[in-house]
Amino acid sequence: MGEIRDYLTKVKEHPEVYEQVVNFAADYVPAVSKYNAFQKGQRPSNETAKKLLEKAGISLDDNSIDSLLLAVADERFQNRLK
Amino acid sequence: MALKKPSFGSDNPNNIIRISDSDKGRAAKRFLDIMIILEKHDDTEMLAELELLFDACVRYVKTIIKLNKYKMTTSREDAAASDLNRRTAHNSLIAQLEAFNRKLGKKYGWKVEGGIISPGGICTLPSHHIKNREKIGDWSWALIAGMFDM
Repeated sequence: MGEIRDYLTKVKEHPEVYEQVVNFAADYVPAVSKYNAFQKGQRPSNETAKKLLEKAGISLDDNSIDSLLLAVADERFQNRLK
Repeated sequence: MALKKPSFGSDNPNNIIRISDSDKGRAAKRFLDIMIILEKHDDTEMLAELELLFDACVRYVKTIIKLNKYKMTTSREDAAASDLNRRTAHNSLIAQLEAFNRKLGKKYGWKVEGGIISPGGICTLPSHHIKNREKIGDWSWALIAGMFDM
């Protein structure tokens, strides 16, 4: 858990990159969920996030990028306006 | 570099996380259990309804995640438009969930081969939260996040 939080903190140190990652995660996480649920079409790619994260000096494998995108989306959703 | 999977829930140090990993697992499992029942009955009509419900969850979740509350004060018009989008997606989600559960109950009488569908239908919220707007929003994220990890 600690490591993901560390990367979450690191990406937030680059606000422009962070907002782009949030926007990507907002589309990507539900799209992968729908793919997993209905098994239609192709699984979405996280390549765009990989490139964005590299701008923030973060280099991760595909599974770790997915974990980070889920963490970004989770934090943003759970800290939402009520 | 590989990272271990994150864990969310009551152990969150910031204490802002209310939707736990077990909530997510339960929401995804119930969804898949009902999908299996519908596929077993070759119920294409209800499977289409199930996809519409999932799409409503997707719309709501996307709207919420893209909404940056710290920027809400930049323009009154932007804030009003964002709020309208959020309410519209939330209303649509609630209407779709109620419609799905109503049709599911009507068609299967809450009892199906191999088990009983709970009073919440596809929704895993406790019965006293089934009509709670905020909790239904929480459930939609639990479903999307739970299904992401499947």
